[in-house]
Amino acid sequence: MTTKEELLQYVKELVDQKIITKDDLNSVCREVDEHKESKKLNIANILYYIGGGIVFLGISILVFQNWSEFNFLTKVLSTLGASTLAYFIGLLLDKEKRTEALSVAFYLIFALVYPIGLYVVFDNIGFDVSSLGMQSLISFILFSLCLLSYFLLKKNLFVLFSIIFGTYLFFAFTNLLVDGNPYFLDFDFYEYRFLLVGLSYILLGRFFIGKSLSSLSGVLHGFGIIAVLGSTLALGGWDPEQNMFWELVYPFLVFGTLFLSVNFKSKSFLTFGTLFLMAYIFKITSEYFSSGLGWPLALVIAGLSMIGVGYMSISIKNKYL
Amino acid sequence: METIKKNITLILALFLPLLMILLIVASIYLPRIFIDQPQYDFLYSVARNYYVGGGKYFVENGKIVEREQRTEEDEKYGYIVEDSKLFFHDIENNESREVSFEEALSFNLDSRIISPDGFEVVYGERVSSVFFPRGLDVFYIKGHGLSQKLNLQINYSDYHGFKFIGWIKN
Repeated sequence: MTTKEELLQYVKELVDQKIITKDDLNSVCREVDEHKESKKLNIANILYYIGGGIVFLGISILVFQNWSEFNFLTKVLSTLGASTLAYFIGLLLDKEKRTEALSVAFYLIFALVYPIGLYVVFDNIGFDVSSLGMQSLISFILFSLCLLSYFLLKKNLFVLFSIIFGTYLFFAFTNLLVDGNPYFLDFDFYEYRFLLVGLSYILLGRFFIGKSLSSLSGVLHGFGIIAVLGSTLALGGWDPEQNMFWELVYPFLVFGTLFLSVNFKSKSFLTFGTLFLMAYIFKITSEYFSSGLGWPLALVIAGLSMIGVGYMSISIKNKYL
Repeated sequence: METIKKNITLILALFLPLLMILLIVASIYLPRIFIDQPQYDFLYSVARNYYVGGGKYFVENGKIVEREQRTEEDEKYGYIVEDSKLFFHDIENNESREVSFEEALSFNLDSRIISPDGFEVVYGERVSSVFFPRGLDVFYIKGHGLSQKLNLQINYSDYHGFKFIGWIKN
């Protein structure tokens, strides 16, 4: 029987001889983490989440259907009251190991219904909830509550909602600061904000790998790379108002994404890198070659390029991922 | 140092949005410190019926004149100017007040788009939802890298009826 010490000594020798590398060891640890996480997300957990989502839908429909009939107190009780109650039920369930998994469903109800509750309260007090100031305040309250709840309860769900409400806060607050300023209209303000948010998501995804939050890495990588490639594609613009810098940089970004998909072992990088490369080929073909070559020939070239990209993508996936 | 190195991706992830917020704040407020404020008050009109081409107030020889300028379309569809009101905007206090046509006659006006000190009145883009703009219904004074929101007396439904008439020189 091999002891742990012997095994570690053997691994050390293999590393010394460069038969296995540090990256290989990290990769094994990551796979073990992902396996653990995927085991956790069993059918029961999925049903808890679906249940939480259905309760949220029910409360939303109840409030919107009876908006004019409900008085202020009923509106508050059915939204803010229900979500606060769900939070405390979650806390109670969290105390026992046996019911701990169930608590997540109630925390989900809280995270989904509480924003409606805040909107209802502020609206009825007389604030203009559609104003950017109120949206910034509400998103700040939600973001702070979720972040605080994560530090107190250590539930990954609260990190997910902290990121969602944090993104909401970022967009609402920057809109509030800019407030229609014409200088920002010429600056592709939306695209640059999506680019930064996408980069932040990817960095957060990288940070979570190998930690208890590794289950969020895939989602963050996916949404992050969509935001980065989508915003930079939009920054390229369209003939005759194209931005040559972004149009020229874009292929490097897409191929960089495909390269990183191997390095990060990320299927979302590969999938979205491939899709956005196809979109870029189609865009460039229709923008620059459709008038010279004619649409039919341009389509043939775009189609053949896409077949090539698809083949390359499958090859990368089979060989490296 | 070791902690920073270990958490560099997290630090960068949080730093990027904060950096953008700081850049926005700097680009809005720094020009206000270094660039001279606009000096010229101006006159504008707001018509409720914005279909009528050009409105009914114009500047001729530095003075305001009232004349309904109707296009073929106005005649064809019977559009008329309703409630066209004149406003004086005090640029120093950033506030508007309604003035009568007789009072407006006392102003010496410069109807060029750019003021003598290099500013112009432009539409801004009001954003009410988080991700998408609602439309052009706010106004700014813009020039020399500075832009400031104007508190004009325009309702949301009437902003198409805005017409800049002229900078007040006296």
